[in-house]
Amino acid sequence: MKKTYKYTFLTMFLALAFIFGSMAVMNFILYIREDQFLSESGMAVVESPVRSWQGWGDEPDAKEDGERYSLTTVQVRDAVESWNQRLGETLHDPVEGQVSMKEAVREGEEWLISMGIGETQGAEDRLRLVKAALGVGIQKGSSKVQLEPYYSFWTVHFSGSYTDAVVYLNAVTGRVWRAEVTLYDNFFEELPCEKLGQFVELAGLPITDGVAEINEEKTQAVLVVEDGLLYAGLDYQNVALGDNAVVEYTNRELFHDRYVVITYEILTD
Amino acid sequence: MKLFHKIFLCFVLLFGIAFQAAGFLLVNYAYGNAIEQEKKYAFQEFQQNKYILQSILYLEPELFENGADSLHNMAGRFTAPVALFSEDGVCIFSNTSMQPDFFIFTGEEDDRIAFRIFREGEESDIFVYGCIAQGDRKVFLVTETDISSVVVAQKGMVAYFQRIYIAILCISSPVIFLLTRALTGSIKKVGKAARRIAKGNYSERIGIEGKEEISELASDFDQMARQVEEKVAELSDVARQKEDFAANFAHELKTPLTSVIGYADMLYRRELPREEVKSAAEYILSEGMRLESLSLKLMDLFVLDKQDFLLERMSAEEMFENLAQGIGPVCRKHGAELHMEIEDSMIEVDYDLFKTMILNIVDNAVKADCRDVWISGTRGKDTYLIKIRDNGKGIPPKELGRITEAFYMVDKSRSRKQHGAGLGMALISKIVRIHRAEMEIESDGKMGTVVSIGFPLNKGGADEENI
Repeated sequence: MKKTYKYTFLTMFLALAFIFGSMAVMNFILYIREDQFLSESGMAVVESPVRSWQGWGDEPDAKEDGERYSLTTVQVRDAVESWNQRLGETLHDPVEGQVSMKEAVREGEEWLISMGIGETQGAEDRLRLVKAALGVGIQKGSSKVQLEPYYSFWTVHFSGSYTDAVVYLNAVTGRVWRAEVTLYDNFFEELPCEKLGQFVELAGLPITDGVAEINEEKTQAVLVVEDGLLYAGLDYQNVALGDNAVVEYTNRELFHDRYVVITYEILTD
Repeated sequence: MKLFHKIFLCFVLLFGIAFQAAGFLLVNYAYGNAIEQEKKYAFQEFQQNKYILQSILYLEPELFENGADSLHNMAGRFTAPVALFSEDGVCIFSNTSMQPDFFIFTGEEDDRIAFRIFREGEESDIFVYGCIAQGDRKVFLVTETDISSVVVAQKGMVAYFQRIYIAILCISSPVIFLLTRALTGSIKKVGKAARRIAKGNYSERIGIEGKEEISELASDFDQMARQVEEKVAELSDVARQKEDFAANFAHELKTPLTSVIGYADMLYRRELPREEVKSAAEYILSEGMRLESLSLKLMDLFVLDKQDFLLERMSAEEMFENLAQGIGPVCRKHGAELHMEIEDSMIEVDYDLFKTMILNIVDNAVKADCRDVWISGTRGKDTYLIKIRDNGKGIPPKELGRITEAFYMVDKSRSRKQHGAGLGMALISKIVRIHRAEMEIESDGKMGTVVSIGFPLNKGGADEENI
């Protein structure tokens, strides 16, 4: 065999050996890395996305039990805006200045009673807590900077035989600023406009103009709050499914051919 | 191993190392990132289930005392498989895929949550645990987040990357091959040319144009080859001239000697009448004179090569006045008329050589049956030009290039009759070189010959001052 061909074959052999050798080496190193990744253990400090309440300076550092911090209109607007525009939610433990789960559930229950939701149900059918969680809204392009504690909201979910209610309470004020109530019985037959003022009052916000604007279909009402910086909105959806929908249910008793969804919310501009 | 193989191998090695390193960094980063994301997700899932458990305990504070049925009923409310441990580390409830007994439950409540990534077979999970206080009671919640899909996806990514690696190598190998060939092609070309030159093909050239290093090397190589070719041609020419010289010398020596020996033998063997003896003796004398002339000129020719000459500044006008006394009789003997027109100037000459040179040129002119010989000397800017023109037979233009070769004769029979040996012009050519002058011979082969010799003049006005 000619010497040139010998070297060509040797070159090809070395090149192929290197190509497959490098693949094997890389796979081996990656296997070691994978092993390291998949055997990792330890303690992690999950940093809260919100910081502790810093106060206003002229207030006492600690509050008595039951006392809450009050927010400025701008803070309320920022908190509502952030919550309404959230893309997701980061759950966290309550920080100083935020209400506890117990308080949040109690506030939620009180709000439901005040708003007359589920009050006609019997003791066995009364609304029961399903879940309560504290979270802060994930914003588009949000940074890792800790937010003020008033950006957090408690989401408290109650459920009963004929009512489902999800109330959203501001973690600092402990007030309900949004609620989604689904009624399968004891319906409001029309837009409960008179409840809107009460909702605003329970939210701890002053009403500028007591007259709510209602749309033509009478499904939505808006009330101006806080000199026009904030609004209170009420949405009423009466949904009739029809008899055909019953086939979707295996348990006929759980089927409701009609339900009403009422949403109370604080809105910004 | 040839340079081609080395470069090819280097390219493959570089490509492989770069690709694998980049791939490793990319996959490692993606893997680490994916695991970090899964950890964050697992922590969020833990938080979610922690709230679910707290909500359950809020409603049923006596949950753990109510028995296994209550615990199993609540399992459906969790968003992930969970395990519950009492404060003393006893498992209360678990629906996880494996018993997470690798955690050491300390009972200390702090902001930190413990985690562990665990792999068993094809399944990989992140276990997160934390302490949950409910009144005076503490329980430990462990959540299990399945990350098998991430591991599978990463393995898929590595396999995909390796497929790309092989595919790109398959595509790029011919490119690397061609690139290597292009790089080594010019070097190979230089090598081939060098080998051909080594075999004696001195006219071989590489002819690579460009400004890169190989092109420059090729250009230098071509330059070297040109020089070698010129030198070889020069040496061949010298060798040929020497061979010609030896052959001509032998011939020129043999011809008169043959005649001389023939006539001498005839005189020795026979009794000849007085007239024939006289004729034979005359022939012997004539050939003897030719041999003498030949030997003298050869001697001059060799002497010129060996000797160093001291050139003196002399007046051209004075020199030609003296020379006219010698040239005049030669011209008259052959029936030619001499015309001289000399401008005066100081030129550096060896007078004896100069005289030999002029006499030889005039001798050649008169031997060419001329009727007139014109000698002119004109002073130029840098040279003093001497022109010797005749109206003799002239020299055929194709012979002009060879007339300065020793023993070369344009008309051999006529030259021999006139005792010529073909050394005159060779002698003149050497004398011209000794004087650092330049000679030019013009002739159309019909109407005479013009020999122009330019002598260099010193710069400045020195010549004028010396006149």
